[in-house]
Amino acid sequence: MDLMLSSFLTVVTSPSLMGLMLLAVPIGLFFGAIPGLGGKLGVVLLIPFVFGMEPIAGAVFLLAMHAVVHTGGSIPSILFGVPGTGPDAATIVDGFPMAKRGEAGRALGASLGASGVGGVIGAIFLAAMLPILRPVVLAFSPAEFFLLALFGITFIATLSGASLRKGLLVGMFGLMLSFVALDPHTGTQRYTHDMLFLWDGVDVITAVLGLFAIPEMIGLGAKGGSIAQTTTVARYSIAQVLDGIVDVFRHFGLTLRTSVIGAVIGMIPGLGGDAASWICYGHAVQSSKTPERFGQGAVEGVIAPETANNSKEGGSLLPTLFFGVPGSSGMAILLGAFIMLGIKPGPAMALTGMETVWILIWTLCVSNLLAVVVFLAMAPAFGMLVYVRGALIIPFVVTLSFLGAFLSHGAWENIVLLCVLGVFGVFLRKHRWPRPPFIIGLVLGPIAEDSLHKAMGIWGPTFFLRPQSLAMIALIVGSIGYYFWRRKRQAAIEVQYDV
Amino acid sequence: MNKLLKLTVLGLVLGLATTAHASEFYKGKTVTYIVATSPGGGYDTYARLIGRYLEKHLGARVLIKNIPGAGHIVGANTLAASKADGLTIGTFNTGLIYAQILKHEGVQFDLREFAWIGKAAADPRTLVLGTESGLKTYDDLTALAKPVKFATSGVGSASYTDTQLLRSALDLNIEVVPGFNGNEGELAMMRGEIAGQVGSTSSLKSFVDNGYGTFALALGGDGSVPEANSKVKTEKGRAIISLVEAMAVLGRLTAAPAGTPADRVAELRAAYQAALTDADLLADAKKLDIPIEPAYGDTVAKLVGDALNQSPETVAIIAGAVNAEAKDITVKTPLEAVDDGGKIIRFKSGDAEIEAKVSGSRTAITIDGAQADRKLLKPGMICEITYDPQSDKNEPKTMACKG
Repeated sequence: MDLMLSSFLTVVTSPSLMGLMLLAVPIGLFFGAIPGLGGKLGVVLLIPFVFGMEPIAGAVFLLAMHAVVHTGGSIPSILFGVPGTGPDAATIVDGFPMAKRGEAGRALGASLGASGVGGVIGAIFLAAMLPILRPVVLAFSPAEFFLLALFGITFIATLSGASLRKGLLVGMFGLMLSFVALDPHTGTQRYTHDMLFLWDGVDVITAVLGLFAIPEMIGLGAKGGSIAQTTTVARYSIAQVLDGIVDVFRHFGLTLRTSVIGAVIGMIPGLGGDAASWICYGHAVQSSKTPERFGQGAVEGVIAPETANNSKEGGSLLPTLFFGVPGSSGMAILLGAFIMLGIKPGPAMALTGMETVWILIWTLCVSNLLAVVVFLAMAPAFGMLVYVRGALIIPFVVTLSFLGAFLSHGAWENIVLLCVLGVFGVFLRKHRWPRPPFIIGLVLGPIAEDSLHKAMGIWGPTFFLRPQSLAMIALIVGSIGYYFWRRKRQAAIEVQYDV
Repeated sequence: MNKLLKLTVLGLVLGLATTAHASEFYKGKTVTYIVATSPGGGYDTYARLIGRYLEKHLGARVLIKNIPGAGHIVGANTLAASKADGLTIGTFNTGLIYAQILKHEGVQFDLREFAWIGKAAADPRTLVLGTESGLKTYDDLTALAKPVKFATSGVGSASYTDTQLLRSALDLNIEVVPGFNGNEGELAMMRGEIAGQVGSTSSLKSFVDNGYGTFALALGGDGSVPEANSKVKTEKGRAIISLVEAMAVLGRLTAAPAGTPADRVAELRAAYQAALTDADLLADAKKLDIPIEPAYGDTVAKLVGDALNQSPETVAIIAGAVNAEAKDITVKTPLEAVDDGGKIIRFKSGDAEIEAKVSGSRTAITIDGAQADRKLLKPGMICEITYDPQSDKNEPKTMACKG
């Protein structure tokens, strides 16, 4: 306890550490906000600058930068339907419709509040988890990965909106496309037609851009006007942004749950941020009393993924520090940097390095709060962008989309893929087919496949008979049952009122 | 010895020369350094370290690009398909030599053709047992009645092949579960789902230091762990062990795509050598606890070439170990004798002397790239010969000769 407080004081009373964080936070926001850059590249590019720094100072600088990337990543998601980073893609589904409704400021506020609160709750939750870290991380084996991915895939139903059939079709198409890649176990080519860029699978950022950004921009061009489709005059509104932040507390139960889910998913190496934010988005829809509002600009749809993608940062820090096993690919690079700086992660941390651990946890909290302040100063101005005439904004967004598709893997072929998926997206939008199920299939398909192979290899076909797996199966069955029960009840109400 | 010394001095001078006036071509350019794994593993660590010092000695920016997948095959394929302008280099697992020998599906590179820059370490293999498995020594493992599970990367990867080769050589009672990349195998050992893993000593060192496992068997090393050589019982087993050991000498390879202009390869080699002898790099490597044992350019090219030229017997052993079909064998070697107007040729395939009957109609022969008749074959020509050792008289399918 003493250590916890003293390290907090070390962080906030040290001008140099606070200064470094103040420097790192805008850099992190920038790397998040430009589609295709992301936190990993940010750390890699900053590593040369931390050589020669004190170990703690260097680690604080890099971690603060990495922790707030997704706070920045939500800006283009909400304003233009272009995800800044993969895990910010889920924010588009409701954030962009909010912008269209003239509530960009509120959406930005909600995302900002959710990111900040998520980051802090994530860090607090992790501090509480420290004593039982090992059993929790190790409780998740390939069998649970498979079932967790399956659980996420069942959200396709919830995210289908009015027509389950259409949702399933789109979701299955996404799953199908997720198998375009090299077989992860045998290296056999699957539907790649000798094109190298497909060997790693269909790029998720490109798919999100194709399905959301491109059709929305074409839609905007056809309709004319600005992204915000209101007749009210554009306002520079800090009140709206503050209202968005208050939204986070109006839905505090959801904020708390998705922060914890995000932190746990982050803690388990191998699932990744994309899965975390989509699973939390699915959870928000599922647990809502009015799921039909989602996709039309429900503020919960912004809160859920944004809490998750910030709280998972703290989650993935823990196995990195205590086992030397990185919780995410970004953490893997941070791990390398930590070792270079002279911080040696491993179980010995618990004995000799607890002060460092606490300082890093406090860094997560403080940098997330700093990001809120920095961002708050800019959000109302950003919010004005959605009132800019379409003719001026479309070329900018389309350029950003093409840039994002290219940068995410450095492959020009992704630009062609973007066009192909863009046509597909236009078709889906025009005929009002749901688009999120496609991304769910694409993100979770490979996790499900890979972990199924491993689970079969370890336990054989009876892998799901272990207690943890049975609990997960119960969760899946319960979630499907709940969905059908709710549909039936809704149908009954509709008949009653004859609507 | 004297010659070696001279070479070293020459190398150093070359290296210094490059440092002194960083190359005109590379100045301000960006070199992409492909790493065939996800960020964070051993290959990534080496590449990021070497990349930083290549920047210093090459005068170019070095960008690390992680292209993981299919046990390093995706990364190596990407390197092979990259533009051979000297602006792309890559590092991948030495075990791809096996993949090429076995003509594994998905292999679209030719290691013989890569422009080799160098290698950074000797990376002896070792067998690790997870603490959770309850097994502590190699003898515990052999005493087991029921098989235990070992994790490897994808089928066809080096980790998979090494594990299967060891299983075959030592008659280990293990079951191989493929598909574990990066640290996933280590986590599975910590959960107790997987008993052990065969991997490189340097990447598993921190896992063992942290108390999650023990080194049970070493293939080459400092002698602190029992040697595989002392446990092997059969002649065939001994041959396999020495093959795995020989491969391990070639740790952390770096190459450029085939056809990279010779002057740029020379600059890359010189910069690589300068980087790996840089005192700062050595100090950083020590901090990171990773060994540096470099070799450069032609030495590496020769070692790789030798490793690819194997006898039909060894190829059969490797194929048997990984349950692959023994396919055609490809070797690049001088013709030792040509008799009967090119009908009978003799050449070396690994340590085996092969006599082959060249067909006038079925064997496709090229000399210096042009189609040719078997009458034009001469002793001493360097030929890349693909033959089927199961066929009658080892008839070659293709012969591409030079000279």
